Amino acid sequence: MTFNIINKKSFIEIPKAIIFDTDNTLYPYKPSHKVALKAAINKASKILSISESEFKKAYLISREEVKYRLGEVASSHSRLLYFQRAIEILGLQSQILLSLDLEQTYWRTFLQNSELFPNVIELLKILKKQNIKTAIVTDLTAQIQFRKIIYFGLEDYFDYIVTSEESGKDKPFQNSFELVLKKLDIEANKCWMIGDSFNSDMVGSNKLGIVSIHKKERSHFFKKEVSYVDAEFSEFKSLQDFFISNIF
Amino acid sequence: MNINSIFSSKSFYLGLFIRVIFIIFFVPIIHIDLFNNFIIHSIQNPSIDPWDSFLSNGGDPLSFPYGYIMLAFLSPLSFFGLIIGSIFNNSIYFSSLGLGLSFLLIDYSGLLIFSKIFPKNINEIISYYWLSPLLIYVTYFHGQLDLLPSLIMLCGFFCLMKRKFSLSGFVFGIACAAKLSMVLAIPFTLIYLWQNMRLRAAFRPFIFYFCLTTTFLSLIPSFLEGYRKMVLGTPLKNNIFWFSVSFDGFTIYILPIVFSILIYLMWRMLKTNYDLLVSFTGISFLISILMMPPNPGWYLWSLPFLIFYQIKTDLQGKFLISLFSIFSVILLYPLHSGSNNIIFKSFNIYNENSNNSFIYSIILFLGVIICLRWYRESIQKNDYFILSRRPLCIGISGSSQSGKKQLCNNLKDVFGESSVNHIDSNKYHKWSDYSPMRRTSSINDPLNFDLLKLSQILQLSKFNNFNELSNNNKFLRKLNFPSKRMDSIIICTGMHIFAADSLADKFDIKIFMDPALKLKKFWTEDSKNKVNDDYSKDSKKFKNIFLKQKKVSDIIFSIKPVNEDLNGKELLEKIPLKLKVYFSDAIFVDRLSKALISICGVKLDSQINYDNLSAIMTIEGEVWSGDIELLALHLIPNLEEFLDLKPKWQDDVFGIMQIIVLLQIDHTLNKVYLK
Repeated sequence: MTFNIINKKSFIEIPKAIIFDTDNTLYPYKPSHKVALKAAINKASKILSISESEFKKAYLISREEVKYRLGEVASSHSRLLYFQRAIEILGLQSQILLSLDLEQTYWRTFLQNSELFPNVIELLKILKKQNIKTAIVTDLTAQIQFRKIIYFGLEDYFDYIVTSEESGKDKPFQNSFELVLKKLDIEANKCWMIGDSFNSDMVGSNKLGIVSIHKKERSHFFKKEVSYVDAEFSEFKSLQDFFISNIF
Repeated sequence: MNINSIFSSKSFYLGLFIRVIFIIFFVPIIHIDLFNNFIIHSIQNPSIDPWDSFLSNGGDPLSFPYGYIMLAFLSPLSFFGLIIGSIFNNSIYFSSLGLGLSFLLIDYSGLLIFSKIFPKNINEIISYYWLSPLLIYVTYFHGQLDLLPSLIMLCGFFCLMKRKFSLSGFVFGIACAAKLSMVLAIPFTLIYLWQNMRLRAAFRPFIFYFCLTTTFLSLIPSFLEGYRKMVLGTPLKNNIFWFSVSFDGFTIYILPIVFSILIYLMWRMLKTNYDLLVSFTGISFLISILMMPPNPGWYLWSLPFLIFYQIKTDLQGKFLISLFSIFSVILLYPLHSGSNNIIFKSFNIYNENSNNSFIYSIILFLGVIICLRWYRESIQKNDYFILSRRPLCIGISGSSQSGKKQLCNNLKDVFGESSVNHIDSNKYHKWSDYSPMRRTSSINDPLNFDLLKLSQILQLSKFNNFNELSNNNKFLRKLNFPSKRMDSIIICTGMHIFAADSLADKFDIKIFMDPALKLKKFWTEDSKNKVNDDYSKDSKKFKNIFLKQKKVSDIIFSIKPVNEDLNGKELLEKIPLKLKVYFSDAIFVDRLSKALISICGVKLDSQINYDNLSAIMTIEGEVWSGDIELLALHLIPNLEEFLDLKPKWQDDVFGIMQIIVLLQIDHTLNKVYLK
């Protein structure tokens, strides 16, 4: 699919900066998460001598509980807290070492199975060449998001990073978007926001006046309020071609 | 992911479209004249010996020179074709359609196997395999069946790559049962498994399952008269003697000689890796088809291997293989029967008298050039070839109880006991255990060790000088020196192995162990083999010798407790440790730092000395063996061939030490290669 411009007014000049979401935007999140969670559950079930389904059930309850208790903040995504609480729900008290072990097993397997979408690096190289600033705005804790960026070898391509741990609130709250604009020192309408989540990335950024570009999944056709989306694409190659052709 | 990439490629749909057009509109003449007759007869007259049943009904002995496997793969859809054909009163066309669809499924399976082998080269696979004019012509236009055994063989190689040796032996047996000529791959595979000490354990299961399958699918059927006549008695087998030179009444058969030379060359390499195995097998198949009369089906034997090469070679190589494929079609097209078009009735320019000597010469030329390039590139780019000439020599030095043996054992866990030759300098002590000199002399004194002998042994081991070693047999027995052939890694441990320059130069990698003094003291107390009490007393006397050794080392490992204030018996407990590493060459330190932070989440402090590009890195944090395994995969994927089938990775600092040594090996191998 080509780079589909919905709101032509937003694309009359080259952006000064592009802000990227991370999970499911720069790399496919779901397949890695699925394998990683399976590995962690498998390990937990072996160590604790319980069935995988039993641990998974406890994990899901724990996840909901943690999310409900903490609200939309970075630590509400902490796998360490999910595993810690899941073990507690199973009546085995807080097993600190095991919780850490399961968290590391999860992230290790996650990284092992993660691969950037094609042409991400090529696009970032073009942006560098065209002197367009780049930033990441992402939910979750800084530690693991930084690790992911380094694992993918992207640390040199981004000028700034803002995590919800730093801003205090997850997207679509505007804390992260406001903070990144402050760091970039660029007006909102001169920035693009690329993300996969309609609610978190598109609505949140668009309300601040940032040009919002939706990274669509190939098989993802959901009805949305077009007014929040200025453009859409499914493959970074199309965005890369867009910048190479220099249509501005 | 791979399937998505395949489906997102327009070239895939182009290839699929071409295939569907051929299957629907073209009926290969050999399907009508040969294969269909046999398959239809076998379906209509089920028998243990379908070949005999077919012959006794006046069938052509050349109709189906294949075994049960081919019949089993091709019958189901032909059967459906036959049923539908009986409805439309055109069983020949519909059974041929069934055969074509069978091959479409087989062909697509081949594409999937290739995408598993080369997940990052999907577009190339589609170009070289799915759009191969040779494959499309031979399978869908001419109608030959050789794609099936070739892809079963590819599946066997895929199992080998995935280290599923028993399954691989089983699949190789099936491939040979499908087409006897696939047996060409067996000698190379056996050499590969036998020569690699770490894979030798897989030799038996491979042989067992290969023999088991061969017995049931090839040997037992050979008792059937029909099978003997049609499959084993096929006149095509004599083609291996087609390429020959005659003089003075003698005839020299070139193909068997060239094939034997290839086997010999691989055997002489002493050690081969998977890439070399694929190259040798591919070259042998390619040479075979060049030295036999041009038969369309046979050209597919080498196709999977040519794709392996085409993906890895440079642009010139890719172009040569594409040219070879196109010229093969130009040569084969007028020489063979081709297809009948259901609209235009006849769609071939078959002329058995066609003289294509010129085209054949071009193909021969291209084939020989490809073989030469393939051979040269496989060997030149092969770390194993470099190592088979000279094993990698790692020296681990450090004072007594510094963890030399522990590191050596941890490295053995990674490379496999059978691939490592451990030389312990303690066996080169000048005085025997009962000598009074042993009691009075200091262990720190380098003059108490016969470093000259150690140097000689290292020299002989490094250059795989077996004759010399066997001459020294008596000496070797005394040293308990392994009589087996040396393998890829020599690890020499000792307190003074870098003390003499001439000895230090023998090592490709020099590691010095320098744990914190108080940690070493408590390790010593904990050890059952307590060292002399005078160790600390005279350690100052020999301080300079250790300092000199540290200076020449590539890596210095220094293990310390995270809490440096700990003292006394607390140190004997399992306490958190941190690792301080000095790198004489900081070239890979940045990569290592990033990987350690991203994968293991450790705390890390690295300082690079820009005067000489050395570095000091301090690492602390809990690291699991699984993290170390992923680090190895991430940082040094090419080293997988050197590792044990099931490498044992350590936790924490000892695991990080394993990784650092592997990185240094990778760096050293690259230096050797660049030289």
